[in-house]
Amino acid sequence: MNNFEAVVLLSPEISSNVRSSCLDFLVKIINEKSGKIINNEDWGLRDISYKIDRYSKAFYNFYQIEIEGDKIESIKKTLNQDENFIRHLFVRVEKHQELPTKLNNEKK
Amino acid sequence: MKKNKKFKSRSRDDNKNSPFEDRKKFCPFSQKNSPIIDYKDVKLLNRYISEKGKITPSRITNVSRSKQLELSKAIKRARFLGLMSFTNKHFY
Repeated sequence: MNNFEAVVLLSPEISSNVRSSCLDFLVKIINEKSGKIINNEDWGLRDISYKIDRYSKAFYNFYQIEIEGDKIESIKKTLNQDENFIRHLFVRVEKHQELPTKLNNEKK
Repeated sequence: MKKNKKFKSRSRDDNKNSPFEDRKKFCPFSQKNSPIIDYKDVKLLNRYISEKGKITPSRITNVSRSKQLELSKAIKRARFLGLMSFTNKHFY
């Protein structure tokens, strides 16, 4: 088991119900692969500095995960097939940082 | 040997204002309480890119080789997520 960080961008056009169901779907996949979510954080609607799939804004969500490394590839595959997920990033870290992240403090 | 001894005895503050000072440059990330490089900390990363949005070379910012590798990786991750831009073209 290793520590991972995940950032997910969701499209700004979908309603809040669909958005929450999308995030539940992500959590469900991770739990299926015998991983567990330690922390999550909602960064809200932010401006993207360039256009991604014609959107100039997106909903950011941040997760701290503990999961086996070779299972991440199958998670990425399922996320690529979903249209509501614009972009995603998985990064392996040695140790999880304390929340809240510096990005959120700066915004306030 | 004598020259070295003299150099050691002088502290850094003594020749702070002299125009011929040879103050030692140091890496801003290798000190004891220096900040951790992270792709989410956009405010810190913005200091190490040029006006056009390029990564500044380490010979200008004095970042050490290993930390420069970390820094460039963090900037590229932030760009991928749209937290930073690849190009700043607003002044044209």
